[in-house]
Amino acid sequence: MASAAASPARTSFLDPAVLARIDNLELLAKTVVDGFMQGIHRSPHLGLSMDFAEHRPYMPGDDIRRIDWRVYARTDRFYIKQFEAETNADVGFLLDVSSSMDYGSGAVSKLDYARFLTASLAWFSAGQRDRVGLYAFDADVVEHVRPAVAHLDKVMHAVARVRAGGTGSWDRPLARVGATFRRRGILVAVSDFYDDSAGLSSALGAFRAQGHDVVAFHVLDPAEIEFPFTQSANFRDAETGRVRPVWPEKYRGAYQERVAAHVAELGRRFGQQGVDYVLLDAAEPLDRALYAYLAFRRKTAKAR
Amino acid sequence: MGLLTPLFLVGLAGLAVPVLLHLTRQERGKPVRFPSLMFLERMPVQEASRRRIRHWALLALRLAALALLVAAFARPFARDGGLAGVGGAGPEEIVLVLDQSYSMALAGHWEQAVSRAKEMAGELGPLDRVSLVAFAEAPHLLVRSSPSAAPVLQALDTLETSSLGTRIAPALKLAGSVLEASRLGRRRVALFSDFQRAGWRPDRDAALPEGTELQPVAIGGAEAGADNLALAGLDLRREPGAGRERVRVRARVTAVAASQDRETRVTLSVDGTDVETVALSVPAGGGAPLAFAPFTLAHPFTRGEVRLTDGVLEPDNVLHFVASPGGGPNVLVWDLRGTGESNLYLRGALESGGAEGFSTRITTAPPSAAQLDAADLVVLNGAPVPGGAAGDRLRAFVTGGGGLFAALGERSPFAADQAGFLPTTAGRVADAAREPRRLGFVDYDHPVFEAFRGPRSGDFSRTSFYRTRQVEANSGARALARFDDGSPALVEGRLGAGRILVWAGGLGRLWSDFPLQAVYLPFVHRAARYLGTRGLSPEWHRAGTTADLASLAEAAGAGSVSAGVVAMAPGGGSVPVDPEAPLLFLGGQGIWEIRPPGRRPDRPMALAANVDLAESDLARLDMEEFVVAAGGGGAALSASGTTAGDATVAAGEDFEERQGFWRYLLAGAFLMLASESALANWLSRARVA
Repeated sequence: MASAAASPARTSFLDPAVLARIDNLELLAKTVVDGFMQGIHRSPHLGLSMDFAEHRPYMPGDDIRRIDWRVYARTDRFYIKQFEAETNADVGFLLDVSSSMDYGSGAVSKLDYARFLTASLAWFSAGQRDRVGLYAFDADVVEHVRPAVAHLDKVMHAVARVRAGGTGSWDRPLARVGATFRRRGILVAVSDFYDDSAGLSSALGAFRAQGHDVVAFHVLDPAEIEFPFTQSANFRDAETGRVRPVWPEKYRGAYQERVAAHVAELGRRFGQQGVDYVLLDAAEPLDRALYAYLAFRRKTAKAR
Repeated sequence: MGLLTPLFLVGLAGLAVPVLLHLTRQERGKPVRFPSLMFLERMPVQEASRRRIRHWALLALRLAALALLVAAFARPFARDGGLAGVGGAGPEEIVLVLDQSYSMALAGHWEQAVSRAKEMAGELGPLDRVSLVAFAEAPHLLVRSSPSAAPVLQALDTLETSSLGTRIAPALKLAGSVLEASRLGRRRVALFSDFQRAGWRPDRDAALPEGTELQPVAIGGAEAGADNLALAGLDLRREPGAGRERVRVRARVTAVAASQDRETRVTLSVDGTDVETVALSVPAGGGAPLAFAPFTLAHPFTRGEVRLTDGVLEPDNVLHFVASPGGGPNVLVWDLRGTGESNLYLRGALESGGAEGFSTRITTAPPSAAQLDAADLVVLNGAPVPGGAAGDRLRAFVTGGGGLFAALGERSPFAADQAGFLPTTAGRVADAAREPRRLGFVDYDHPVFEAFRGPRSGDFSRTSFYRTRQVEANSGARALARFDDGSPALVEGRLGAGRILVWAGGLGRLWSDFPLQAVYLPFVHRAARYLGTRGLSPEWHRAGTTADLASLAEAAGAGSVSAGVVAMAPGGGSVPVDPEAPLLFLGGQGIWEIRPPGRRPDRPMALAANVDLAESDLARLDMEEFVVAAGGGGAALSASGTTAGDATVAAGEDFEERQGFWRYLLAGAFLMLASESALANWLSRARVA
């Protein structure tokens, strides 16, 4: 994989605080993906399968490993071997829109960050000629877009439209996904995963067992990780509305330990189930998520 | 130290509020929204932590602000220091009464009066109160019971002398009403005036309240104005000329208080151009008549001015007039006996008024319609009040603006169908018993008698009446003169737009020696001119009276006063005129113009206002007599009547009002609150950082 020596100017386009100023989600996704792909000098439209398609002249930025040296020997010119793009793969995005996602201590909330990420990955996948679909859910699926090549616009509109609300639960949404997402494909889950790690991993692992590739993006706000509060106060659960008096200065350490343990447990259990797990900070640029997804796709492509 | 409203101290209980808020705020504070409590355990917050007050400075500022607010509302005051000594003597209510009449314009008098008044206001004690009344013919309360001298000093700086005469009694009455409303124990009226004798008529209603000290401050010396010359008796006589109307201006110069004869010069100017100057010698203590050569009256509203050069009192050195062509009134005399002895003197008086433009006709029959159309004034010289058609015609004549002078004679029956036409009852003929009757009261404010108001301008009391008609004034009518037995001699009434005068003394020689008196001829002329105003307006008015602009407009042929016109005062400034009630108060001496605002027609309607000539007599009151008369209501004319109790009762509020500590306390409270906000913001920012 090429190194990601992105310049500060390009990096700024991946900063959530900057992206939050772009109203058009489609434009945002295009900006992110194009900027990211230029940064790693890789054309976003090339497939990675082994089925040869055609030759074309070498263009700066192309991977030199894909130059057909035999043709060079015959013609004294550089040609690139093009393969059939990875088409016909269904990519289903599972976007958590429960109330807990509507939280942000910085410029963007977790839901906004998840929105940016989902839109960018959908754009990226559509560029690979994948069929993209969407399941936005809280306790049930609230927005469903069936995977199809022409459904990128629908996915974008649905992602832009959804609002956070309700209590989060994975049972009914995953049952609905299982009933509708039948063809082998890729499932991308974006959530804060406030749930039992064992249940989550087994539920997503079930999809892995059905032949789907599954990647889980765990989005957390910096305040959820660091717990920077100082004043003793009543804390109210965004989903259940329960209130608890908390003395943060005394309890911060224990909280951070519990969060770290939960993250570690999720990573471990998802790994056991063959589910890729990526922890994301809502304040960090989208680069890491995109790299992780690209690596995931490369890995799944090779596996096929 | 005391508190005016100590009940507000209950508010100090509010000091506990900030502490309670601090102790309870954390539990009741707005909850922090957090995505999930999955990793949060319930941790009991220690009570000691909650009770701990971290920012003592903030708490102190809040408590101080509250305490200052409570103290401000309790309105504290101090009885100690310099104020206490004054409180012992008792605060004083002082009313400064300042004479604004035009006689105060005599060299330096006004400045001296203002200066003395300022001096007195400056000596105000800490708890005293001061009021200011300015007066000429009517008093005006400019400052009422102020604890500070500042408003009085400001008002004094804006005052100036007026063109009006002096009336002391109403001013004292107003001052008395101010003092009656006062709570203070000591009361004083300081009257700054030149104390003219003509300005004081004792009035029981004007007596000051009990315990009031009257302090007359005489301005100028007794000899002030002794050399004053004054113009009096302005008279315009119209003379028929060669197809044009000519006017001869006559006047009189008086030197009432002069000790030796005076030489002077008098100038007549018409429409701003000096026409003639006459030199004359005025005998000491008397007057000298003067007459200018007649000038042609060619234009309506011609303005004129007679000006004296040597008078020390400026306002009475000039008399203004406004004259328009039109001739004098046409007089129709109805005398049953025809031209004869019964109307000999009346005819003589009116014919000698031919120079003024009177046109006289005698008739023995009831006036016909044609005769009434040509007449401005009808004189019933012993004739009856007609009934039937003649009575209706006469009534319509008066209602339409004509004048009627009814000189009741031996046989002057009132027609039964015209009851209520005249403003008096018919009355019986009464002979004088031993002594002839004389006139005991004359209303010199009325235009008929106004010319006789000044000193040596005519004496009605010398006339002897041997026989009169005993009439009574009807409701709405006014007796302008009364005999010494109180019965009316001259009664005025109105009917529609016209005026009626009923004279109960006869105009012939048979009933009285009135026709032989010097006042007879001017009286007949004044009465005829007053009643015969149909188509004529007076040449001048007295300042301080109200002019009817409707009759002025009628005389000018304009019909009525149009909407939007204003009256331009002689000294500048404009007064709006209400077309519905076109009355104008002539507050100043000079020429008043009536015209649309912002436009000046070639010859706008105008009228002249001259000062009250009675004010020119600068003879002084006997001060002792005046003080006794002014205290007639029982007021003690010394600074007695003050008790310590009175002073104490008044002291609390007065101390508080004068000291005004609450203002400082309130300012301090706001300062504390501002400091608290600033400190709280700073601490908040520091905590976040």
